[in-house]
Amino acid sequence: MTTAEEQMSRFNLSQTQIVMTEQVCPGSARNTISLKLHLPDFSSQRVKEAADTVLDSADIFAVSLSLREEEWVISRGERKISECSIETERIADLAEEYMAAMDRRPFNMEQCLYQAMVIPLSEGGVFLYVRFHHVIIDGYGMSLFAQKMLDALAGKRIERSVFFPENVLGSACENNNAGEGDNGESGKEDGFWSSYFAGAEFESAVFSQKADGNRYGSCRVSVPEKLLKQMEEFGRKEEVSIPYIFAAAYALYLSRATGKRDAVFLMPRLNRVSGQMNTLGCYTLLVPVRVQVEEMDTFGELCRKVKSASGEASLHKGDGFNRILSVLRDEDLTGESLSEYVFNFYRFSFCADFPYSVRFSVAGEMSNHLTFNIFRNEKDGLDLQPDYRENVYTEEKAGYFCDAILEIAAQGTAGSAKEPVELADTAGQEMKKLSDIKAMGETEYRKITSMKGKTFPVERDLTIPSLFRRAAKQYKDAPALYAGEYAFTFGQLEEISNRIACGLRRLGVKSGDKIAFLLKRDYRLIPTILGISKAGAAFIPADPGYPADRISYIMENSGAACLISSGDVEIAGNYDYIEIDTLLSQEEDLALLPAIQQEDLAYMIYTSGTTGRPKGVMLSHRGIANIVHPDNNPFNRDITRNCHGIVAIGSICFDISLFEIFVPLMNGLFVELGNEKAITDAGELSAHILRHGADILHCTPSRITAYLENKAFLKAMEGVRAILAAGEVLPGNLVKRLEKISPVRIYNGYGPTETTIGATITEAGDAVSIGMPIANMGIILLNGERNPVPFGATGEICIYGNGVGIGYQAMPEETAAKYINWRGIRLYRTGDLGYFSNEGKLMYCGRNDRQVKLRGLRIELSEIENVMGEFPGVTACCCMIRKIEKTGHLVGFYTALSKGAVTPKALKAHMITRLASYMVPDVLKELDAMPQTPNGKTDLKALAAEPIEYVRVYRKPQTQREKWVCEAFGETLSIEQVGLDDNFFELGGDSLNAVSVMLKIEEKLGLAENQLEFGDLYKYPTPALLLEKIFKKTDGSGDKGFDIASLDYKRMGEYLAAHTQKEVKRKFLGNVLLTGATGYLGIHILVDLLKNPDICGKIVCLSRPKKTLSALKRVKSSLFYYAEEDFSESYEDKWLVVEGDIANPDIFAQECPVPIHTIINSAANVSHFSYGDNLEKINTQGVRNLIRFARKEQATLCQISTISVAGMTAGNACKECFCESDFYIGQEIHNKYIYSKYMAEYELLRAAVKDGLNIKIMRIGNLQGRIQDGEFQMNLHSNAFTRQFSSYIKLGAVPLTVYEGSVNFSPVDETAHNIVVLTATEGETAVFHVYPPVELKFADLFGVAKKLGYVVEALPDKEFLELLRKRKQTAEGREQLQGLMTNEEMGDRYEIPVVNELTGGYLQNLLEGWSDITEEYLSKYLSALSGMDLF
Amino acid sequence: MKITKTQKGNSLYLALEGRLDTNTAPELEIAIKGSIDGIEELTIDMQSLDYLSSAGLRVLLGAQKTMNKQGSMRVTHVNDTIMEIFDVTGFADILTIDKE
Repeated sequence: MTTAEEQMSRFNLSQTQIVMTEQVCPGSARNTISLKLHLPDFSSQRVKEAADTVLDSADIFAVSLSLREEEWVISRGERKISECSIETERIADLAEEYMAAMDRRPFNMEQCLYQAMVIPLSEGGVFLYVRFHHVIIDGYGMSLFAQKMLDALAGKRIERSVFFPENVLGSACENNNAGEGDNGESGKEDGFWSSYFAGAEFESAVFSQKADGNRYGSCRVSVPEKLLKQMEEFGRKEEVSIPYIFAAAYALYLSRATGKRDAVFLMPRLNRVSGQMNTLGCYTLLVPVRVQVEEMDTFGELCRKVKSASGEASLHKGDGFNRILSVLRDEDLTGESLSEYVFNFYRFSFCADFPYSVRFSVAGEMSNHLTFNIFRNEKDGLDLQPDYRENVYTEEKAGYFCDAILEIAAQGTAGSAKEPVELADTAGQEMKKLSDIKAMGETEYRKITSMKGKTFPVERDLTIPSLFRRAAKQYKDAPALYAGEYAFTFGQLEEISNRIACGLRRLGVKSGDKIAFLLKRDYRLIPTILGISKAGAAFIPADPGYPADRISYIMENSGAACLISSGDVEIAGNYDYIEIDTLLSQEEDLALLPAIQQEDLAYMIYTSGTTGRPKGVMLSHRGIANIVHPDNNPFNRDITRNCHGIVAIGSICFDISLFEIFVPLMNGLFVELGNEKAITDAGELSAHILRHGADILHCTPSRITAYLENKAFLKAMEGVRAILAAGEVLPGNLVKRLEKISPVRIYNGYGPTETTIGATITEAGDAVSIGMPIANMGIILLNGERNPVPFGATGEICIYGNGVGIGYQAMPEETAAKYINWRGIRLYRTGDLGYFSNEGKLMYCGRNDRQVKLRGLRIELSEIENVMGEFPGVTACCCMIRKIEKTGHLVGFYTALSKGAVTPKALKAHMITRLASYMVPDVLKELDAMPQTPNGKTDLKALAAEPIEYVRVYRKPQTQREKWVCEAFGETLSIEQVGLDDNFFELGGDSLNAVSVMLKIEEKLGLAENQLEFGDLYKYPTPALLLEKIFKKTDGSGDKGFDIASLDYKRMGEYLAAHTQKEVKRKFLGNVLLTGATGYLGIHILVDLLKNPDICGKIVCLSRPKKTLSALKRVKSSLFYYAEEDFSESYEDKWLVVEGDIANPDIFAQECPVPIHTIINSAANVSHFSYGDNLEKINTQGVRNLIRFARKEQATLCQISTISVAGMTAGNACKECFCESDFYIGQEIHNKYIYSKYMAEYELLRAAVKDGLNIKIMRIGNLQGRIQDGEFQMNLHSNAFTRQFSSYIKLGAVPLTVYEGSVNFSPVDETAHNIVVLTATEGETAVFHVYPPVELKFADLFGVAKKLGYVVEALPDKEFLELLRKRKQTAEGREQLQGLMTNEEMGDRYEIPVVNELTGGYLQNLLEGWSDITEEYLSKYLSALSGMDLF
Repeated sequence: MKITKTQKGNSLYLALEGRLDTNTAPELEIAIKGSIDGIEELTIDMQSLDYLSSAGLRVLLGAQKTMNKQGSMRVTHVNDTIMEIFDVTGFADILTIDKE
């Protein structure tokens, strides 16, 4: 459609994509790419001259861009080539720095698009540095440039390079789109990409870190020669080339690193045809590749998978990456980014006789995380050169990446033994599976298995009693415990606890017994704990505030020997207990106290699991002995050196309280025991702090946040020096606020009860990580397969070391599941997710189980909370699923800095932009305060009971379709009124009646099979959303229908006007190619041609075989069916059948046997409601293929089209009726079938205008029974008109507006004959409207029907609709109405009337015409139909 | 068209040979109507049938309707070409068909 000149002044698809990214980030350097050529033996002048030669040789360097009205425009040949400059001399290191800085410089695109410079080196030789804007050259082009440089320096001639932006027509090299020079983005490949990514499980990124601006780094690792040879041999054996081996390694790395089955990465594809392999220019198209990595595959299989996955993807890259991305986003298959990983294998092999080295950079300002480049180096080996985004990757991690790739390649390609496999040996020669391959280098493996705290020995004899005894000895008279009115020194505390222990021993307590205690928070509490321990027993805390139920459970489950309690504990009355006061009054007798081993059970804590019964966690003394050491962690170091005492407010049932108590006590600091009130009351707590000057506090972040509102607390805080704010993620703003109050050091820590209180602690002030492992403890992150994840990637936090406990009481399965032996190490699996920061600190990611499923959709609650928390003003938030009217809904609670500042509406609006629609909570409620558990964590139970409101707003359905869908909802759920925005599930629907409502909707709307998928109701649960989804594609989206307005109609109007004559002259048809010969119209055209042998030469019928039926058999069968003879005698002489398919680019299975002069295309897919691309493939693409064929044969192409291309209008079309010389008159087309026929005409007209193709377009009407005997088409059930008509018959009623109307009625035999006659005319007239001049009145048709016994009553429209509604209630009724379901609701649009005076004139001219539609004919027609059981 | 009739008790078996079209359909109609009384099982064997036209379909439909009232009808030895016609016209759902 465009001349070569016009082509040259356009961007090709590759360039368009680049220009688009430029528009996203104007003024950035993201499209700067460069080459660095090191030439030790040449002088600056020589190199400059060579560079100028190369620049001069390529016309791409004379291109200039200009910005016109915010769009970039390219013009050729206007700019003078900028010469290569010579810079000042530098040493190599500084030269590298300089070039790196230039890489980051953006181009002023209107001024220059490239820059070449020679940098002389102090060491001798030069660098040639050329940076380009990607829009003029791609990676391959840069390689070419480098080679041309080498050639120029060798004195070779440099050929001229001319950049043709479009690929050569008709070429199939790497399959660019259609070869017709269209600019992609047509959406042809949408369907492919949807299905290519269907069901994909992948992550776009390995690391959660955010990048540091656009800064990037690069590292280079050579592939060892030996490995390369091994890979080459493997490649030969497995028939995969080296690039695919690396790509497979990449895929395995990504799959393992993300913990997902699929690896997705992006590949730039060369996209050059053979004539372009030496052209400097930009052709690459980026394409995503998805690989399913199955651990049971062999590496060879993975390589092949990668090859086929990338090959497939490459075939469908023609729409451009941006289009692909938007298709996948629309389908919720991906978020913002599809993949942060790019794979770039540079195939280019350089050659030169002198020393050189070349490096490329395509990073500019990098926008992704890692671009895995592989280059051939000057030694003909390969270099891995990943470009990585700083902070996401570091030099260390990039090195690990290279190691991992090489490791995978080495293991995967090993075993390509040269020795022949002996038959006897085959059993042992099993191919290695992927699961056997370690996807990690040695160095990295060592690193991640050494993420642990300091290792130093802890004396084997240290136990809780022995530790305290030692402390008591050392600090005898120092204050140990303050509890209310009471105060004890270490010595006193030792004595009291001894007495309790002796008392217990005297009562018969043996070593290994478990003793529960149920005490208030007073002075007796801590001595009891110590006492039980000293008696050789394990203590089990229980809270007097617990329900009896729970206490009984603990007693029973633990097998506790006895319970210690007191008269003042109310609930103790239910149990037998030992009175603590009795024990306190016992005599001390050290001889009674047993020896205790570190491995003995020390205590048991019952955790409240989120589901199911509490678990009794068993711990020995070893963990406590470890964690109380003054050097164990930064917090310990701090308080043992700098502080005096702690206020302990942790509930005794949570092991953090043991930290609060033991760490100070064992190190000579005092404990100010907070009473019950101090736990929840800021004032009381403040009093406690001030009482004896305690300067250490342990408190959860949410509690501190809440308490900061209290003046007394603020005052008390002035004296506090160290805070352990653990148990929850520490919010950054809290640290800042606290820092303003006092020089307090805030620590955070992390660890489950199962590994003794804590496993990691942070440095003071770290509000980002959850710390580093404490001494003698380590962390390793594992993925779902229990493989370690790469350093920095997310995995399940698994803890090992001294603190790992014994297990769960009486739960061997649970214990075995959580406490595992991993490669010889005993680990505890926490169920929490985390990753290591680049500095090796542990970052918390949330729990595995904060992932819930709502209506089958996976939802990460923590992800929603993160988004909520981002909104300015939100201080705390929590998201959960709540039941509203029997259905689950997402509900979000939040608190704000100032009440009312954050409205639910604003918050929701923010969340809609950041989350998938089903992840936005239906209800958002602001709370005054976030409810907390005694432990200081968010009280999920309280939130579950928090009252919430959900208000439905009723939106009335307007169009017929909307009414039907709302009806379907209402009928299924027995609800009177259903609005457009009502959610099916919240109205009470569930998965059972979801099926029935979907079926109802399908029926009511008359949908084809895969227009509505089962999952759709869950994603689009309201009538409005559902309709939008269903009709988005088939309806041409939106009010204006398919976009035909923006097509290029240049010269078509002129063409049509010039090709509309007043008269027509006959012409011999020559040999005719007839497509669609087995169709209703096709057969009648064939019969007409056979019955009028003088009108044409040979007839070739193109037909597809079907199952076991050959094309010939099908044609003959159809011929006989309709014509009752099979014309066998004239077969071969006059006519023949050839196998082929117009959807096939070559059309014919084998060569066409005779030259063709006229093509009549009556092959079409006429389903008005077809999903997928079948319509387009046959109706439009098929025509394109025929156009090519016609051009080749220089034949006339006659296309059977439809008068429906006249379309509809709301009144703004530029003509009132549509005649033969009209094409685009401002009409709207909403139907996919009609659109496909319209586009076919467009293609034809384009070919006629551009290449002078001879065309004829026959627009026909509603094909019906033949004049001869009324016989109708074989597939009568799929004809829209007869279906509609039969519905009226079955209903026995018809709306008055229809009854009084008329309809186009074209007998097929006369239509076929007239088509043939009109085709056999001179080429001056192109378009014909082939249908009878008079329409059939419905009244006449119904009149004849009545005479045949089919009585149909004409009802006023309202009554008819009422009747419909009643009939729809029954299955039988719905069946009767089938034919009416497909009517489209077009609101105030009407069909543009079509006229055919011109054609009528031509037919008269030729002494042809149309028979009248008589009663006799209609009678035959209806009888024929009824005989086929239509009514 | 040649029609071979065989009757066994209340089963009627008709074998067709040739073409079933407007000309020959009446023959089949007569053949059926003439012998249909008291028949509970009608089998039409299409092994030797070359072609079938719309007229032929109608006769089959008529026979099917008749037999629906008094018993059952089967069409046997249907070759691929004829089967294709049954499929496209929807008769595959109306007739009881035994393929080859």
